[in-house]
Amino acid sequence: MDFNNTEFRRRLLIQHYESPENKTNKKKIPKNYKSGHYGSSSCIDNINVFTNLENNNVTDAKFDGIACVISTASTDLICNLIKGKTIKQIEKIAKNYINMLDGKKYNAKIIGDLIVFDGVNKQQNRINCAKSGMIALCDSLKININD
Amino acid sequence: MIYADSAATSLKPQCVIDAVIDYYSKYSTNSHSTDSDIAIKTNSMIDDSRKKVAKFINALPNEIAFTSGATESLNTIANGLIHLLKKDDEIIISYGEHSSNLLPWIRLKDIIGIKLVICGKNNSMICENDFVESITPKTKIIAFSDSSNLLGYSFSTEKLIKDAKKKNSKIIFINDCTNSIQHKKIDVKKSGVDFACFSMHKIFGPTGVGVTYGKHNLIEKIDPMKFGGGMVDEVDGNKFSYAKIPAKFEGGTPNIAGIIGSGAAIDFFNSIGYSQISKYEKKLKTYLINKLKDVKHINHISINKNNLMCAFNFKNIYPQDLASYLNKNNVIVRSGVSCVKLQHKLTCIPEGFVRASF
Repeated sequence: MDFNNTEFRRRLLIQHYESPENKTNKKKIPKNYKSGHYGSSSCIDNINVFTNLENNNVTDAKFDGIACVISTASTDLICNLIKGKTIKQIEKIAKNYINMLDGKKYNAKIIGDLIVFDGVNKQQNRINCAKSGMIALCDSLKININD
Repeated sequence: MIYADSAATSLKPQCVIDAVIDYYSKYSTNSHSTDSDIAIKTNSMIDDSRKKVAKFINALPNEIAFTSGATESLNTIANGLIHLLKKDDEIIISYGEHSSNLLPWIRLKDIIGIKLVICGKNNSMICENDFVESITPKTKIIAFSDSSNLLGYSFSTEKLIKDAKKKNSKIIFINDCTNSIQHKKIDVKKSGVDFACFSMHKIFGPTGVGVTYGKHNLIEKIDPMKFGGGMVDEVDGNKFSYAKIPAKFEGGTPNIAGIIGSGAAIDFFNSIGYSQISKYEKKLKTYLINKLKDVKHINHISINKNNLMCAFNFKNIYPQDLASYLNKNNVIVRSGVSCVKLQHKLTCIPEGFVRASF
């Protein structure tokens, strides 16, 4: 995991875009899963995130939808990162990740592979792409990320 | 920089910018005031713009109402017609419509139970016949964009109305010409359309100004959407009467600077003319298509030289990623479906395209 290596970063993004581990068809999602949605009004990105919550722990996370490289890859990495975590832990991850994308202070240690998106805030037109999966996730878990 | 996103908004010529600055810096007054020379000038400039816009599409000035854009115009028309419609009346639109000519009709479906008939075929561009084939004795309205803002097709409003009237002579025709007005002459008298609308910012004008045309006998029948200052004639505590058209549809202080800038935009457009514009657009499109032909893995959606747009994709690359790449190389395009939310019913490509427009 060498995030200083541009080629490594590029490969990580392409891998999670072309072969996302958590992408599914929403028709296959069990009924007890909670769902959240992000739809872009200016582009076609349209993401649904589904989470299974047991005893305040997210045991599974999947997504469905069509979206660009950054949106798809970030949503896939988010799903990987939050499995097994509590709502409180996910809330912290979400806030730090959003802070990073907004160019604010953040704790890099708790956002795992999502650090690959640390340069996105330099590209205004891609910030929402990177936020899309997190917004849909937080929507599914009723986490408020607007504070 | 190469700007190829004119279908989203056109660049603004200096004469339009100057007209806007001139108003704000020299005679910035409210058009509802008439007590000063400069306020009278403001009203006179708005009247001039209205006359220029009317002449531009061969309408009368009192058939032209200014709005905030084509979206407000289409909402005004759709809402204004509610009292003339009833449950099960049929309204025909196409899969190629912009959201502004789709959502107001879905809303009418929800409110009064009209039947929304959406025409178009897989792997095919919309044409006059798609609408005509869908007509029944219950058809009350055909609301259509005669040129696509995404796929570039364009058809004849005149032919559509002529053919449609043979099947049902009572239909009301609404033409969203937001994406055709900058490319081909719109003549509302010749085509016989009942309502038409467009946004001035697509035709070198300022943002925030829309034009609603309504055939005089019909625009009189529709209700306004905005109620307030400037649109009322007489009022007591319980009732009021409308001001004359077009004031009836222009409640509140309008976008005065934008309307004055719109007059300058029409002057600018006329100084070039459709013929020159068309020649230049074709030259640009031919150049682009010839260049794209040499790029491997490009899939052209609208390769026809007569189409107004150039929509394309690169194999396995999401359109937004390609647009972002082009942006980094100073080429401005738009990606996605450009608010044509049902376009996948025509193209079977839900993620949309990169659109280069002139």
